[in-house]
Amino acid sequence: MSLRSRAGFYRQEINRTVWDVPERYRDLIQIGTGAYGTVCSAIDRKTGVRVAIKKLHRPFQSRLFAKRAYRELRLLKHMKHENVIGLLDVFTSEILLDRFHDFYLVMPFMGTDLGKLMKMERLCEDRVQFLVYQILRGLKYIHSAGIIHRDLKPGNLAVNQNCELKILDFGLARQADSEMTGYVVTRWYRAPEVILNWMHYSQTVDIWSVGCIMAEMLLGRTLFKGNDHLDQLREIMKITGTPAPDFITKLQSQDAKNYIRGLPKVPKKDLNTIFFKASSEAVSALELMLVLDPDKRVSAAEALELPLFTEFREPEEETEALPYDHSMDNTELPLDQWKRHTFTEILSFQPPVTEIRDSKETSL
Amino acid sequence: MPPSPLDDRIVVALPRPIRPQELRLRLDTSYLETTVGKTTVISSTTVVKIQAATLSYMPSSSGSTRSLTCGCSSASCCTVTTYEKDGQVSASSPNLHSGSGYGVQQGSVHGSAPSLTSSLTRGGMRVIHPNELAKKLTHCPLGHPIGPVPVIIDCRPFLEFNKSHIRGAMHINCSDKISRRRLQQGKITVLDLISCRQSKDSFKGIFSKELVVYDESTVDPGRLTPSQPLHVVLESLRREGKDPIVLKGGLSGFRQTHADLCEHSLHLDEGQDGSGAMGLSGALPHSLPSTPDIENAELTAVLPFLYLGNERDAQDLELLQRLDIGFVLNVTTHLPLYHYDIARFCYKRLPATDSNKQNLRQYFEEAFEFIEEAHQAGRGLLIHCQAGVSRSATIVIAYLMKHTWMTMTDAYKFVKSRRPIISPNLNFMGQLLEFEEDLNNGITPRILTPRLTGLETLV
Repeated sequence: MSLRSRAGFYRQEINRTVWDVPERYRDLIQIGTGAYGTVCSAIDRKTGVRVAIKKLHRPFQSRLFAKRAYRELRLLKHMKHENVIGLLDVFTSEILLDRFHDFYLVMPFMGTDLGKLMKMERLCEDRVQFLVYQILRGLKYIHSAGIIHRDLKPGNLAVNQNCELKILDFGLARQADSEMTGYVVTRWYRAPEVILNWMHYSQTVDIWSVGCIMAEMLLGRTLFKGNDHLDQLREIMKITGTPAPDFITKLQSQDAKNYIRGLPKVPKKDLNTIFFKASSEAVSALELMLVLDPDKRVSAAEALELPLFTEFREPEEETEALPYDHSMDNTELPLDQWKRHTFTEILSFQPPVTEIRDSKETSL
Repeated sequence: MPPSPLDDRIVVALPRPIRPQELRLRLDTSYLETTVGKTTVISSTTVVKIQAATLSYMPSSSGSTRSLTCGCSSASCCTVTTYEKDGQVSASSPNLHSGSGYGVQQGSVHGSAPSLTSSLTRGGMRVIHPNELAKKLTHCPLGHPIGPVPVIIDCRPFLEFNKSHIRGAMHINCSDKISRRRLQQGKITVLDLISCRQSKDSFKGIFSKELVVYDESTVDPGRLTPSQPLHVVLESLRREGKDPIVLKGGLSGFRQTHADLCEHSLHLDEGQDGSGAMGLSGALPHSLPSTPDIENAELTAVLPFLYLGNERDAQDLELLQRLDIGFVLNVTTHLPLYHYDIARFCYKRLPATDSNKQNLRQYFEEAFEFIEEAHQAGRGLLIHCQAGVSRSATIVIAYLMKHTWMTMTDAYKFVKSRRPIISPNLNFMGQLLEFEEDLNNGITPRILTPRLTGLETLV
């Protein structure tokens, strides 16, 4: 890789944030900001397409921040699938590690997200099928890399104007300890075992979320809208019924078992009565996703084979990822080492091959 | 385009010497024929082609003219329009003769053959100009409706349709490649892709109406590539036996001169559009994912002397002093005993994690003793954990159960009514349930005196 220098970059201040970006990115407009950092849309003059550039907020302010920034970068670099957000570019204006303090992530610009789309339009079942199919295709890929999303919700599913969908903000870090119980940001789409800290997670926590999202697209309202996690559990059990004895025995906490056993018995509700306008194939899919026992939930790969998606399936695009190396996730390193690792990852980034996408598009 | 019909009439009426120039300007092929053909043949060809062009591009204009001539009612206008359309596709010379209204020498029959072919070709990709469509959406100059308003189909992306579309247009979802592929394969029809139920119903009844289709800016439908949505839609409609007309220039062309006939379902400004990218955020850098109510929760007085709060409250010395808090009960393993150095507070730490393995019940009795100590001293007590949601809330609930007749549910609701964000983990709920059983069985005695103030209306 050629030496980088300030040449080829230009500086711009946007809403009191300084942006040092390569000349190829122009017309920066801020489109989002928060504790995580700031996002601008921009025009990539090399390709002519609009992109989203994310500048992280003080990524090396602390060891925790640095590890998180490193992890996010590695995950994004690893993701190369049509239905998962990936990196188009990553850059820093510094060429020396000593002066390295900011970096920018470049991703495809997506016009909106599923949450906003659902507010604008009542989706017909055909479209619901197509969107869910894409979510599952992306999930199969993520799960095959050994990654669990853990926070799937409509706001994390970007949709462009061609109704093509990408999963965002995946691989939410497992919390350092379990002191996050009850503090979830949005719990409506989270699997019961996550909300209630019942047991160790598996990949099917994401399938529960897909079921909730699909249900919401069909109904036009949130399916399980609890106002705290106990209320969330009550809302869930109104539909799934109270758990079966064999499931209760799997709970880790004896006190939790006692509490569950003490709840009044509720029978499982027939999903056909709730989704009476939906096709039987759609209801069957929901039955397999919204299962209380995570061991009995359908996997993403299995779900893709359901009759609901037969007409949409493109098996050659239901690809799997290379395994993702989690070893660094459990490592505790000093701040400057996280910084060095991040710098190394930036230097080793290779842009996606554009020709392949072009030829794929042309083949339509 | 408005001058066009007038131009056509002038051309027809112009004296002989001018005709060759018009031929060159309008029809290159005709000009070539001029150099090799007889004068009489040229004349006939010219007349026929002008007629064909008029029919293709300005059908309602002809209709309008005929209505002027005939003084027909609107129904008659409609009939005339239908007749003109038939004329366009007829391959029979006798029909052409009657349609054109001109006497034709036998020798010119051969000369008219090329124009028939041209007419058919043009009819295969019929186009309509923005002005012409606009007229159909309003009314003809005489105030007569020219005919039924055509069915208009918009095959641009849904978000674009929402920003702006021609009044009365219905949207079809054909931007994604899967929908296009299914249309191409004949697995579905255009009807299946109509996204709005009302539009779907009206589409079913349109067999007798004209069908106008548009995209963003296509000028020449003959140049569309097979993968483009407009092309796919046109082919699908033809396969269904329909005869679609393409709006020349698409919405862009139409909107330039007829913005008043466009409407907007939703106006999405750039900011709103782009805000979808907010989803691009990474994990929150704060160690505590937060919602506004948890993050901004204020100290809660559950009882006049008993305050439930979070780490920030424990750090706020001014707050503690203002409320005359003299006792601090810290239910965490790791948070410091803030302000320990100024020796103004009595402290107790109950080292507990908010997890499904933590036995919190083991600390109930010593917590109660400490709370009673504060109560007897007439000072306030702050009980806190990280966020004042789970561990500290559990102990407050247990305290109320111990010192009143409240059930677990009563106590839970009481605390929640004052601090809505409380949410003990399931493990702690199980321990509270067990505690309730022990209280009811007398295994653990209740302490009901002195009566707690702040609970006068309750048991």
